[in-house]
Amino acid sequence: MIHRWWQLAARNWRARFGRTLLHSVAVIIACALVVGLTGAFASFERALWVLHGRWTGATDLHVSGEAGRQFDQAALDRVAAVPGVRALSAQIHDRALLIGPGGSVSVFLRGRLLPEDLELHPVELVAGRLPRPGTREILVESPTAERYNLQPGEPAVIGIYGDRHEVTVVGVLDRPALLTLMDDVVHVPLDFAQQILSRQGRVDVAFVQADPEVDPWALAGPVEDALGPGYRVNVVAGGRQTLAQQLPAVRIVVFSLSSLALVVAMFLVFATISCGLVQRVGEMGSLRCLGASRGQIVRLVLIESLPLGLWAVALGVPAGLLGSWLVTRAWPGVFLGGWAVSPLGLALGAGGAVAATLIGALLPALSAGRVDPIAAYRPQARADRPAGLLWAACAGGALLALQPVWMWAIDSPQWVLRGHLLAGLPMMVAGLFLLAPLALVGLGVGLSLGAGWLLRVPPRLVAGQLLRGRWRNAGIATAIALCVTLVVSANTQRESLLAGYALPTGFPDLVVLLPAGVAHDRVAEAMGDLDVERWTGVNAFGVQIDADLGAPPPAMTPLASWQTGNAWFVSFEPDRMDATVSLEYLEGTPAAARALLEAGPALLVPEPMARALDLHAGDTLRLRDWQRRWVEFRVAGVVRSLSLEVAGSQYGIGEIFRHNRDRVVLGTTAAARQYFHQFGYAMVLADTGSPALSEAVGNSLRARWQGEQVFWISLGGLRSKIETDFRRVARAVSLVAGLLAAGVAAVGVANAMQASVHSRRRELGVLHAIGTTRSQLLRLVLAESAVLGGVGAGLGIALGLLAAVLGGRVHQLLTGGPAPVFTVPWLEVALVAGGAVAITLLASAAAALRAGRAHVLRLVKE
Amino acid sequence: MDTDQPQPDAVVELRQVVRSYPHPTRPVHALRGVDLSVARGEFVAVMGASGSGKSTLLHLIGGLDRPSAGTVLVGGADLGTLSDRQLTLFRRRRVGVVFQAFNLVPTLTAQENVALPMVIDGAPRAQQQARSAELLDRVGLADRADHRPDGLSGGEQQRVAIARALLMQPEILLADEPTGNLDSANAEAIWTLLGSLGRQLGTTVLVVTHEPAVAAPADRVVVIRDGRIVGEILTRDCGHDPSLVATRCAQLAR
Repeated sequence: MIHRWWQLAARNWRARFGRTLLHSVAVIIACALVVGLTGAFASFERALWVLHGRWTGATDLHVSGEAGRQFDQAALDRVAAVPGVRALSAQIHDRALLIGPGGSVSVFLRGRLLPEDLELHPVELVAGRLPRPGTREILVESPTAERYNLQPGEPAVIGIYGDRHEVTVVGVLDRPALLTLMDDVVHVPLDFAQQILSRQGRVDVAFVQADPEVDPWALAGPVEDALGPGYRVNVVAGGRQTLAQQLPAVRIVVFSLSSLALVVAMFLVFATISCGLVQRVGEMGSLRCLGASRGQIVRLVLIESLPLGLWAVALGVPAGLLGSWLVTRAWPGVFLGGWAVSPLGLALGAGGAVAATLIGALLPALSAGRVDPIAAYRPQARADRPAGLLWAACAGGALLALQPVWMWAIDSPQWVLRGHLLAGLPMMVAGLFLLAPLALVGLGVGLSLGAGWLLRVPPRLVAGQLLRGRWRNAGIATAIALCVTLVVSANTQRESLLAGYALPTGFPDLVVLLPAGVAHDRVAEAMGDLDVERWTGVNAFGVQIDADLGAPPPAMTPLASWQTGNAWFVSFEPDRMDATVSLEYLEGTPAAARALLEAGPALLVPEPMARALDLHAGDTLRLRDWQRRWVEFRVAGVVRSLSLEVAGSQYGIGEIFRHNRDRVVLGTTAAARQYFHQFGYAMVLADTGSPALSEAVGNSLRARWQGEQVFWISLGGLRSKIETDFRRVARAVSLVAGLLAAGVAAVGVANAMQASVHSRRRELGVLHAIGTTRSQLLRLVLAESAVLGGVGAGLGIALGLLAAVLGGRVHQLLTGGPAPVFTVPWLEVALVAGGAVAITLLASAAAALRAGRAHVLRLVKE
Repeated sequence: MDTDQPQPDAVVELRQVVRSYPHPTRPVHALRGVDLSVARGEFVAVMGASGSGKSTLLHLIGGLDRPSAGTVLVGGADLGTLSDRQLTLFRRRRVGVVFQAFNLVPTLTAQENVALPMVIDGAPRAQQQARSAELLDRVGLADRADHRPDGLSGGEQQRVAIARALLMQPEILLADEPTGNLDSANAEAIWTLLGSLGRQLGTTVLVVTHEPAVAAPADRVVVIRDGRIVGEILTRDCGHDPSLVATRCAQLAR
């Protein structure tokens, strides 16, 4: 026997056990998603830390040359002599070709000081042993060993700068799957690497381990002082701090996205409980007649709803944990640190499920609390008042409008992101819900005509059914809309980002490489024949600059003669350069620079080199000419070329500019001829105007200069490569988002529709009793669902497009990348809308069938 | 009837009570200046055609609704001046309501349904059990205490509802068409029960009905038409004969 008020709620739980469990499915799934996704992300975070730990090993300081500059044994000795330095190791890096029995592969060559470097960066051997110093023994990684048949004891060849070096594989290292997308690495003794790279005594990077009692931050200063200018000392703990600072932003995004499932579940709880209360208006009225206060009714409904959240905690949390555990088990190479549980994710999943339930139940509970005692005489709730809907819609519109205002009023990326995720998105969701009832009236009536005509039921009946419980139906429509929003927003952002990715203006769309060189007249003649107007010939050759630039840095280039100097001289024609490559002048002006270049001898200096050598416009720089005399060149300007850097980020030729910007000077073709005896072009840059034309020109040049080495690169291909890669990743994200949305929506909407139909069984029974056939009843429910799905899809598309615009703004502010150009993938949007309607129809099919099958007397008596 | 001076032993006193409902085209006047006085322990039936305002009258007396104008005094309390909370407590402790559709909570047993007002009021457990058991015994359902409403017949459900209405020893018991959902045998049993319990407990009983047969046992029948009380019938003058009550009622309501 019950003796306390809350026990009535407990009794109702027991009596409605099955239905409560069914209604909680959406919350269970949402809870499982939050716990699962945050758990998977926690495992991924742990993997990142493990990987970071492997990279940094036991080192405290990471010393490298400014802008890729190398340093020598003397510098290393000075570091080793700094008090507090316990251990020191060094590495040298370059690209090379590894040729094994199973084929050849471009690899990252890592020369390591043995055994010191292995002590500071322990490796996990899966076969064989470690190489010995002074030998030609190498370590390869497990995927490389497997793919190219390079087991311990196998001979192999390292190809570098056209030379071949026989080596022996002595060991195989473990390589985590997390690094799949990165280059294969071959580890060799440092002295051997220095020998084959012709950089004896030089290293790219040094690693320092501090004495245990020494603070690495305090050690960084003395090490910098010992090295002098031109070196960069990074404290590894600082890298850890940076990673620790960056991860929370990603974590917020993961938590926010997974929380969206809880928000969807909240609206489904709202709709389900509202539907349930429709049937119990008489019961609530009776309780009010018996003297129950409004507060008691509110508490009763809230306590009755609580099991939905408790079920979610009881089932969703274990399901989410199991899911994340299975994921980490399935991809152990990615989740290197094993399975991790996110306590915050657990709290969010469990607390969020309960909160989503209680918040979802709050409005129906308050509504139940407002039930008049006279409602004891009414079996059904009254229709909502239209005036209230109008005010709600105004409030909803205002909430939706606040977000864009915030986004464009604030410049701080961090605050925009926080505001977007923590305040903006919740406000948009609330705004959507407040707008939904009015949209149901506007859109719903229109769509009822179509659905009624298609399913051959009176449209007035369909609209009437929908409009009688506007807020209940608004809850379902909002849940559908949020799922649609997620998918539409993801797809639109993808397309907008792609559309926004434009190559810089004045960008050559064709790069022709001519390693053997081609004379100016031949190029001019060919370009004239092919009607290409905007082109420029470029040459690149090694020169000796009178400055300490250290030994040459890693250079991957098909161009020869590097080893004759310490820098690149890239020659061009000032009158043609501007037409094809846009140069941004940081110092000097285009006109003044051109005048100086044409008067000669003069140079343009890229910004990193100007920084490394402290050069400014008007300074002089000495270069050794072909007769080994020093010639003074005026610095005509300090420049930056985004177009060359973009090209450099993708293709080998650009590596010259990207990696060697601190050792490149830009001069004229005339100067190249006069001072360095370089007469031909090693490269032609052309702006043909279209990818198709650039490919045709490239092929024509290759055909015209048969017998010579001609390579060409269409930068139209660069764009399509970026598009393909980005599209692949973005599609995967959209697919996951879509599947999650469809999963929650299908189950949740099915329950809500079931509750909605159940709450109107008596009414449907009356329709049946007065002659509506079972088939008509079924079609009526389906038509109603289709309209609800349509309204949800319509709202979702509108909100999704708005969210895409706002997301684009966040992306731009955070990454500083190109501004997205709002582009809507209408076909996909239409498919999503169709999918939403189809899912809603499928979800309500069971409810519709039950309504159609029930016996008329049973329905009427309910 | 003198409306200026309160009746000395009146438990219900209505003075010029008006109840109107707003409507976009024209307001609906459910009651148009009703004066009524019901003495303590009196058994009064309210009769009238459908839509005459008899249920509205009951709602106002039970504190389920508020008058648009006039005064409703129940046990000396002016219901029009009570706050929502005070009105809630009034319904909980001073009024018992019996509905045509029984309105039992489907998930509770018969005894739990009877005890519900005390549960709501937070009364001690022992008191709840003792009082609900006693009332179930009085309505003849002691052996069905553990049954849920869906396991009881219509007459039994209504008896449970009457027991529930009497649980808090209300000053006034209101019944709105309490036998409307019952067959004649059950209806008669319910009327007998209402009358006898009212007399035994000294509770004022006010019943709304449109069946003369069930109004006949009352002390007085108030006839209402178009929101106005058009007359009263003292049933003892008719010898508690349903057909005579019906005839007089029809004459007044014409």
